[in-house]
Amino acid sequence: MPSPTGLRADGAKRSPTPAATDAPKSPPSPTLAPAFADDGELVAALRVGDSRARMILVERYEPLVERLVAGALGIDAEIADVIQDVFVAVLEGIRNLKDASALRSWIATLAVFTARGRIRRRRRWRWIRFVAPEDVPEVPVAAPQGETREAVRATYSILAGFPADERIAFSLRFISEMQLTEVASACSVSLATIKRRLARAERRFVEAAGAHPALNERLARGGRWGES
Amino acid sequence: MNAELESVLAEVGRTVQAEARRRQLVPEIQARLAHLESRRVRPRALRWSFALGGAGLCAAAAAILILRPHPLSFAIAGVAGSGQVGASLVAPGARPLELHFSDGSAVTLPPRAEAHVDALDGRGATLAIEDGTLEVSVVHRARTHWQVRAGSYRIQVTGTRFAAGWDRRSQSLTVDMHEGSVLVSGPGLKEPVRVVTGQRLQANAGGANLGFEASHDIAAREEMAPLPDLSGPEGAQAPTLAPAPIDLPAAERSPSPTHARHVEAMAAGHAGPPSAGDWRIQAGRAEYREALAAAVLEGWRAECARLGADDLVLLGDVARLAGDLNRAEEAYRSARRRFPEADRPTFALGLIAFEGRHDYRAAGDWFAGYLRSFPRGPLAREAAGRLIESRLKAGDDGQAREAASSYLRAFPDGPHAALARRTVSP
Repeated sequence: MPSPTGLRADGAKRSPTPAATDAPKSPPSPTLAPAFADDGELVAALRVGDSRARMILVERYEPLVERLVAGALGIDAEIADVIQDVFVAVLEGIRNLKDASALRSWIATLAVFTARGRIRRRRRWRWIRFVAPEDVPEVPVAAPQGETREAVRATYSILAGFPADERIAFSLRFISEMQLTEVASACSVSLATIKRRLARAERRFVEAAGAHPALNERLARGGRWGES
Repeated sequence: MNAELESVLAEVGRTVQAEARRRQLVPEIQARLAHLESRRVRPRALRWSFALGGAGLCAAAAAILILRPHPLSFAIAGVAGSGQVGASLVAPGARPLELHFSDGSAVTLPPRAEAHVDALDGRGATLAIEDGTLEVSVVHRARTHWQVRAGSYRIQVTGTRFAAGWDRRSQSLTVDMHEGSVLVSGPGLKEPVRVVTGQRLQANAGGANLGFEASHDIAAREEMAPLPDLSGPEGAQAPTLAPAPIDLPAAERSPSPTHARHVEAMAAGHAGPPSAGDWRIQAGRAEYREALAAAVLEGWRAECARLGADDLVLLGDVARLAGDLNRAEEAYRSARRRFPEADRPTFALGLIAFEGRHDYRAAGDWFAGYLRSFPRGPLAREAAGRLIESRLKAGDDGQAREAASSYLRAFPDGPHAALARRTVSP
């Protein structure tokens, strides 16, 4: 089964190899023109406020950000806000990015930090009960049906009790299916630290899943998931 | 970690990602960033001085804000004091009436339009149109929640600019999106419809049309023009994956019943704006954006779940050629899941990853997947060539050489043979 997104923390090299330069070229596309095909060009254009570069940036990296943020937050009405915040942070910080080839991993880090900030902020607001900003969806969120819906709900209900760092590490590793090194890079910690963090989160999750009817039953049955 | 639990979590991941993709966030994010950019008028130094000067005030205000969120207020241009919720607002006959909200949003009622502010809270406002067209400009903030009501219609808004018109006599709604996107639900719409920049939605109880704003400028149209089909390398005649029947590979030219229906529909021609049910006709006329809009009105997800293999692949092609890669992927993935014997969806997903996402690793995985599942498929030669390109562009020279060797064994005279030879022996 091919990877649907192909996300890798080490990232696909944007600069073509000498052999790739010889590769047959497809005609330019009006919507996906090969402008700023190289991240270096893209970063340079972003630094001078080129609006076309901004559009290419979003087109190129929104799927990555969406994948990381969705994995961390689940089905969430505020996901567009979080993604927007990530790109605002990218545009505001682009001048400080020293190595343009690190753009992809830098964006992944910003996505992780923004999602973690959102999780922490929610926790703070929840503590001040009389404000009660329970998140009413801005748009109808079409939840998946049946077992999958229950599993999604159970998973994020369990994760809601995790420390933010552990929740992020766990969701990147097991929900967004990133490699350990990718998770460590996105969280800006060492491999050893991320391993310890994941070990703690795994223990918590396995214990909680065993006690959760939706997940426990699912695990006991050992069959495949129903179609959502 | 228990393997079953890992598979559960992976499934959870695919579900939440599919839900995020379903929301088609790219246009919305683009619009929000453009809106923010247009509002950044102050020089950086001035903004900093404002920020520093206001920091003390903000700190004091923060405690109050935390204790009690303030609902928005609004003022009517030329009228002292705040506007009242529920009060009827009727623009004079000769000039528009302008409403300015405390979050920076603005609403303009043209002459003789009637509306009222239905509700205000800390996150936004609900406007009700009685008659006429409102020009609405909503500033996006965290948890913005604006809504416009018109009869039984609901327009859900985040940060955006649009015109919402309500004709009381005909009970019909018109939404012209200038910037951003809104979600509209109500009579004549099978499911909530997202209207994006440049689109016009017209709806009444009898049905709906999703077309384009009359004033939508040419540059914007060109920017969103359909993707050209991909030509093969070195002048070779490559499969184009264009919707049937125009550019199908030879192996796919034998007409299926649905294919024949497309041809008949196209031969019959079609005039007038796109409407639900006629997206195939628009597709046959190479009007992909219009076809996509019509398919969305028909009920996108319902179409993905209902259509037969040929039509579903055509739907994916339409979305791809209209530049809506998320919807294209959704249709192709649905086709793969429902019709595993169909080969084109896998190839098309590779094409999107390669050309649209520039995600060459994923593209390589799709093309490799195609070759595993359909080693003698009609697109096998092209997939094998694309696999070499993908691996090279991903910087994976080892896999590229492997792909090139396989290519030369299977297609020694194929259009990618020269590239394959260079890759094997640089």
